[in-house]
Amino acid sequence: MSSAIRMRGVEMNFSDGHDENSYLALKGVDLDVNEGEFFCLLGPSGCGKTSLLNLIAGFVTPTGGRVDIRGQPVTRPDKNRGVVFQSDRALFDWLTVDENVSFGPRMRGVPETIWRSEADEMLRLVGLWDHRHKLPRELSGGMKQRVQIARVLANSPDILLMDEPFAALDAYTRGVMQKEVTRIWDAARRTVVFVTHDIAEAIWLADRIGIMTRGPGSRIREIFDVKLPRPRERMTTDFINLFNKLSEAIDAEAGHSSLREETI
Amino acid sequence: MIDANKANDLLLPRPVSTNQKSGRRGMTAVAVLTALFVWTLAATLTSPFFLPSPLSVGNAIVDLTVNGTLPNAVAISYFRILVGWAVGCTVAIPLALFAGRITLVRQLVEPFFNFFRFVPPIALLGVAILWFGIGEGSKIAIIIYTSLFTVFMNTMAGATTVDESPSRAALCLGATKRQVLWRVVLPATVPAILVGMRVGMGFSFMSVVAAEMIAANEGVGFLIYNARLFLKTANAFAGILTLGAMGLLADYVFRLLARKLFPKHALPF
Repeated sequence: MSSAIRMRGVEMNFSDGHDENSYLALKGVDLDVNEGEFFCLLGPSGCGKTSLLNLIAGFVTPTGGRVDIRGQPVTRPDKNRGVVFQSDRALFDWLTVDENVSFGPRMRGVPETIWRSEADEMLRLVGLWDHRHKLPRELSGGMKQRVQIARVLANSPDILLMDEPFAALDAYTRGVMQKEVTRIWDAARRTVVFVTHDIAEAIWLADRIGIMTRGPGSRIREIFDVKLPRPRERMTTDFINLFNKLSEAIDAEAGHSSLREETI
Repeated sequence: MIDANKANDLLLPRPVSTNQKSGRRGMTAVAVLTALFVWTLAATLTSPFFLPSPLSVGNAIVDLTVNGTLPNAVAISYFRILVGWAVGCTVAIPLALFAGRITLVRQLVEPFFNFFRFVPPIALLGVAILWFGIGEGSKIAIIIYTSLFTVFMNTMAGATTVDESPSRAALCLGATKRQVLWRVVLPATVPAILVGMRVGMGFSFMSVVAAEMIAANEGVGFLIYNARLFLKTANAFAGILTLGAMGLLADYVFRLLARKLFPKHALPF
């Protein structure tokens, strides 16, 4: 299978020109994400998961190594790599739900007849059709994240990058959203890189899970295959076994097993 | 398919009830009536030269309105404020946007703004008269100076602190850099610009009165100062109350227009 995303020896050093203020977020990151794969990046807080995602998105350029998308180096953000951000501040809060969702095609000069039907389809897909004339501030957290997902999907990217998109949601809404994402991914089969610090969420969603080492100088520590059949169930023995294995790997990184943020 | 309504409607903001609204109005009425009562009481204990009663101030307002002095003063003061404020905004907003987005421009402009921040408008009145004459020019120049700083500072602060994530989102949705500037950064800065304009208008009211007291023979500031010279204390109070009403009205109209022009923005007023 060909690699949709390939990273080799990637280093990310945040520096403002003074050595004492520089921070080495990533060092020696090697990663291959396959075409059509759902890949989860899991790791303790501050391990550089978001930095890694920003590199794939093209928001920042690596200080070392290569990031290639289908053999082409990443130079800038691109409509083929859609990003769902952790914070709902990424929405255009002066535009309605409908205007947010159709923003990409409208900016790219897609004829209205085409973007209109695509945006409508996405609004229905994420269940926001009845709320399309509302403003983001009139929506709940879960609905705002669905606007973000619809906005990205309306642009038909090949690769979907999701940065802890459900971290701020309550447990119930998060569960609903995870089901939604699986459903959408089943229907569209795009390559997805999904960042999370929630072990159960990663097992529920991913084909493979990459665990990152603790910063500074994070890299991919280990990759786990999730061979559970879909649709998945949470409380099966296999699920719990994998949960424990991942949990141990993360604890070994975080170095303090009592401070885990996740519970099953 | 999930049930969007059931899952999420719990978190929607609740509208302010009419009860709460009328309750607030009621409190305002109580406060105003109490103030008038205390004022009347205080006025009966002192002389009308020291503190005229609300009634005599009301009479003064009627007299000054009938003989045309007050409407004329209001018109001329409003004119000075609006012209000066509009010019100040027109210059300050684009400059602040540039300074907020381009570091080089900010580094060039900011030292001057930081320096002149401590020079009050009235300190420049003498120079303004020398340069722009005793007529409208000097007064309007002072208002321009006043609003320029307030609007510039607020807009620049807004433009520099605009959240990066909407811009990033726009870029990976296929927007060009120019589109990001016009369709994302500018709309995101609108609330900060409007706050700056509103504060700038408030300061313009202060400046125009100071300027009119020192160097004018028209306007509400002149009316107040002149009344004091002739010990017509009631007239001075009439002018002071008129100023407050003028400010309230201007602010109300500004907020109304802002909401009309930017109905979808979350405005902090």
